[in-house]
Amino acid sequence: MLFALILSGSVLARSPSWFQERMQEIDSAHALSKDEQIELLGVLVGIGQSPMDDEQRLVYLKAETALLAIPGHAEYYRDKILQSQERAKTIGPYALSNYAEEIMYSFQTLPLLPSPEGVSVLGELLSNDWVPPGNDTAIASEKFLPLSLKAMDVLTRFPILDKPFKTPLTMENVADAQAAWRLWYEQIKSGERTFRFEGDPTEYDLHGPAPGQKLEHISRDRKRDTEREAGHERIAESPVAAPSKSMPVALLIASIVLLASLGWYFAKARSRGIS
Amino acid sequence: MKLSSVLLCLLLASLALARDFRPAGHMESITAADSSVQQCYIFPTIAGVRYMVESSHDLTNWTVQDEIYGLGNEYVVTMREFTPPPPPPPGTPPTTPPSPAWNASIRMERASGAAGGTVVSWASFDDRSPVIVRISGEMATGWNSVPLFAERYGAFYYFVWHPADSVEPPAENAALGPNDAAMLANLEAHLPAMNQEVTDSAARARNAPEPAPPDPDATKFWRVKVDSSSDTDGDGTPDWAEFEIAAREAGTTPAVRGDAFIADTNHDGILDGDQLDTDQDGTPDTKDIYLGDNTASFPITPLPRYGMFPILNAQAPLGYTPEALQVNDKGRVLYETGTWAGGVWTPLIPPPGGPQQIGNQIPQAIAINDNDVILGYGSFPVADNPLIYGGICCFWKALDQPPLKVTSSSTLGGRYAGQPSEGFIMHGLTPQPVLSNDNCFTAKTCEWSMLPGDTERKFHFLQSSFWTLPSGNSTLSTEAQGELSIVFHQISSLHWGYTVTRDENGSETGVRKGKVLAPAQLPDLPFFPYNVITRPNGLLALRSQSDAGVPFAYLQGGWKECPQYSYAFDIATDGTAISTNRENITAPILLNDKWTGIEITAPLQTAAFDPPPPWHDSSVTLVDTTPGGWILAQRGSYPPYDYAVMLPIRAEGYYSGSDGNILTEAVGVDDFSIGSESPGNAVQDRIWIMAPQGGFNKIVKLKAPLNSNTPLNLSASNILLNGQESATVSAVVNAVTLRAADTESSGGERLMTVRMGSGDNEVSSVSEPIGLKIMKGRTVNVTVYKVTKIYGSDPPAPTDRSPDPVDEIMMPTQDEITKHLKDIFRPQINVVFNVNLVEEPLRVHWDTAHTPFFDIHIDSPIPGEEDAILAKIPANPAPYDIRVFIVANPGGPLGADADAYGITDRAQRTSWVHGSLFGRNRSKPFLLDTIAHEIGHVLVGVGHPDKNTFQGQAPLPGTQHTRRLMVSGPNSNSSSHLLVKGEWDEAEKWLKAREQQGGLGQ
Repeated sequence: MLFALILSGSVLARSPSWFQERMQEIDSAHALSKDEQIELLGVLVGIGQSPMDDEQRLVYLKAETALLAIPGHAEYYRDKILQSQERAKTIGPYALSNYAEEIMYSFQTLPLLPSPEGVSVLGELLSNDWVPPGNDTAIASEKFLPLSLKAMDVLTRFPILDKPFKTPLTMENVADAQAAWRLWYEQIKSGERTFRFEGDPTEYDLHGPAPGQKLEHISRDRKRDTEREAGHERIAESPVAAPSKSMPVALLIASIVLLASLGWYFAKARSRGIS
Repeated sequence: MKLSSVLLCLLLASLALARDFRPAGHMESITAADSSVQQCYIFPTIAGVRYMVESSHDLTNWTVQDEIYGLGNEYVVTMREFTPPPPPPPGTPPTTPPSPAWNASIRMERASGAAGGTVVSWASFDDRSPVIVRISGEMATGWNSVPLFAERYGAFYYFVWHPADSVEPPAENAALGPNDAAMLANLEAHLPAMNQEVTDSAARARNAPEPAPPDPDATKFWRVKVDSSSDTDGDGTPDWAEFEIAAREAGTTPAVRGDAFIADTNHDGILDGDQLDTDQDGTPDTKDIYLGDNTASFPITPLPRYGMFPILNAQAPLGYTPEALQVNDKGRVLYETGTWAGGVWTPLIPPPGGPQQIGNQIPQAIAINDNDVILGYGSFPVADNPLIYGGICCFWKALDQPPLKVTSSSTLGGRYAGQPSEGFIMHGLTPQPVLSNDNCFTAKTCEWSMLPGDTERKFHFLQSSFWTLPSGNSTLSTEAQGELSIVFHQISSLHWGYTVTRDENGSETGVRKGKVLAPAQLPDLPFFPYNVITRPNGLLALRSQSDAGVPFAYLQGGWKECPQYSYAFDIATDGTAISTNRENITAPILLNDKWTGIEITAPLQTAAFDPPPPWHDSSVTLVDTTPGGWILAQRGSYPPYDYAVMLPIRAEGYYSGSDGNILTEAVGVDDFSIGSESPGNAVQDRIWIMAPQGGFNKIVKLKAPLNSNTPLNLSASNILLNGQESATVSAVVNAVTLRAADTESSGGERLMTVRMGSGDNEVSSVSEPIGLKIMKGRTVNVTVYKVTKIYGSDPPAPTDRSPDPVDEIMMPTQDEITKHLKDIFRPQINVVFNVNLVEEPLRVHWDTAHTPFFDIHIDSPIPGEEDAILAKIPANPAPYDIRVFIVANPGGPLGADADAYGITDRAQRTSWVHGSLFGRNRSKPFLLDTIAHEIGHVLVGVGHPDKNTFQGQAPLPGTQHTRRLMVSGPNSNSSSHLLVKGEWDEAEKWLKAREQQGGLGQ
């Protein structure tokens, strides 16, 4: 019904052959190189950013399935972003626009790729706080959000069950949110926990469905930790919120860095695309 | 710790304006505010020039110490402390060091009219746009003798320039950004004190130094960077020039005034820069390459790229190799025994009866003029006895006619133009006009006669004569008294040559003095001029290839050095010049102030650059150019040389706008990017044309000095030119329609194949000067919302402030937005717009924080004030490709610290545009341009080319950014609509993706 309403008010005038052409593109994508496949399918998955009609939804679902089946689908975007970031670091201002475009295009697609590989890529980016040095000048009218914040934003939108931070983001709590997500990812990376996607009973680690042995190990550890915690203090609301023994100092530093960058960010430049 | 070493250097970071803006200062020890003695560098500023004072400890990392907008004041840079301040008296509380001051360079004038007050102008602290306000405070009479004043009040160090005139105040004071408002409040508060200071003290426009801060490093370096390109009002005349004009015309009432803060002082709709002429050379500032130098008055020209046509079929007599002598303005290359044009070799016609072999003097050419008349010499009978011959000049009146002797006598035994001799008409390759276009040259008269003392008739050389070849059916030339010192002839009223100076003993000193008749003899030149051409305001005399030095310009009764044309030895009418190879530039051509090498002027295919192909190697030199710009190139280190003709090709777009006006700027021809010192890979040093698909035919005017003998054939794969696979043009200006076949993939690129001539004689250009970017016709759906700002509940409670709607006078209609966007984007990236203006405004109480600004959080996980507006969009809105929100926000900007008129979130395809009277946002055209600019951010990417840190897809350093749609700040004028090739590429990428995702219309 919703789609019918949208279509009735549509001003779009797609080619009648659009649907067939796109489905054919997906079917024949295997003839392309891996990078070309990901590039093409990524654009088509981008349909999911906006409300879709029936045809668009079919194309989107087919493209998403095909893309997620390609190993390296998320690493492809990570590599593009990081290569572009590296150029921006070494070349300087001339490369910043390209970096911005890579961020924009890649982070349009990454939210549409909820996969263990996507979680891995975004989790690693949670610790990437670099911003161009020129951004701290008073005359700067452009800004770059650190990749760490962009990655957290995407993870927040992933259909992950039991997200480590559920409160809507504000200026005041964004540092806490980032700390929670970093801790969550560190635990997954170290094998201390797994994660699930909504509507999918499978427990995943960063390499795919978690092996049964790993799940048993995590379950035992959780039970043990719970018993130990119960012996000393009230059990934390979520295992994620429980600080790791090795994390407080890192968390403190991370929070300071994050707060500083946010303070700079919101005080100095909020105006990408200013005329 | 005192600094043990101090170095100060000056950098000039400015346009080449033929002015020396380097600050010529001196060192001075000055007592500072705390009674310490500081060593200072003091330099006089030039009004309208910006200075950046920087320091460094390692000459690598530089820190900006201060930025000053010059007003003619002296500026003091404190470098190190010589004598510390005296200790404070016992019991005195310790003083705190002064806080850093803002340098406020302002202009203050008495306001005309009954209301009185003072008009204050400055370059905005917030966005560098011009700010003009009237304040109620009056300037004291003491200001009449104080044109410059400097003093610190609170956080602001004022440099005040006070012209003697009064000025009309603005009708309404503009809304100010926070920094501007702070400065003005401070100024108003301290105007009485300022008046008192002016009244009490003699003028001394210099800032008192602050003590040098202690520095842990023993060595410190300083430098002052100069930026003379600042053009605050964006009218095309830089600020320094506006101040200079204002000072020059003080007390007069010119129609157009020099004013750095007002772009159109006479309110005629034409930017002042198009009407002002800073150097008074006859070329308006916006067209003047060197607007500070009246010796160089050539206007800026559209940049060409060159077709390069090798000459492969020139011939020479047996045992000789073909040697080119000249090229004329018809593209005809003269050899000794024939000519080449358009691929066709045409041998010179021999004299009647066959070649005269007497004395082995086969008639051979010396020079050709632009009418294809050729001057030569050979052996011709000069007496009744055919065995008696003379070496005399001849001419070919037309290429299909035999040569005629140059004689003023109708019978044998008369007077002839003698053959060239040493020091007279040059043999060999000659980049100077020997034979003028009105058929004049200088040669010695010779005569078969018997002079006193002769026992029989002999061949005598007499005086030097000024010869004019016959016209019509006449065969008799005319001769007049001439001068041997005159060698070259531009036209019959402009000749030049040289005289040899002699010492007191009559011996030649070896010094040549240039001699120019135009038509009277001008003062001597200190060199032998090889080429003298007329310019808009006088003459320009160039030196020879081997005579390094500065050429001279003749204006206002005297010769002046013209350094802008150093190295040039030949020049076209538009100022395009050629020089010998130097400084790693091969075959340099001077194009709009920039010596440009052949790898740029005649671009080959990218793949052809490794190894360097023929005609790009270092042995290529340029040897002659013509008034229209043809160039003769020579290749090889020793004979036999290869030769090629270079043809300048320019392109100009042509588009009929929605209102019927013809647009030639920003219409899908990018000859702008190649003007940059770094055009980028997208451009490859070529002129680019957008080749549309669909129903849109692009019209391009191709300009080149062509004629019927040099037809140019253009083609590119699957590109239709004038509806055909290829187009042949042979005029100076050629309108060509152009579109790509619909079967081609959008985004594809082609290089145009360029051939000269016809049939079997056709010769292909080895360069590929024009690129074509294929772009599909597309429709972008834009939904425009108006946002009324409400302050409480809706409907408002009695205590609520009345809602502020979008300004109705500024707000364009749906049709106006559609047409405006179409006129900008259709001719450049083949996009039209389906605009849906939602008439019912969104009424939103978004300003919950009660700040003056609309705090948008672009691309951020943390929501900003825009979320309140987005939440008000009615359910099931029409699908869109781009959304535009026109937001009312009286008195405040968009963005917290941005002071923006528009902000775009590209990822969300959403633009926010200011919809209230704010700053310069006061007219419908301005608002329309802002909408186009913000939509441009969605299509061609984020960033602004004129910014330091984030410059968009095509930074193009060294170009005039104000011509571009994506320039930051308030668009300076209504013609700032240009999109360049790098932006076309990004637009194609975005449009293609959007299309693949099911967006756009067809």
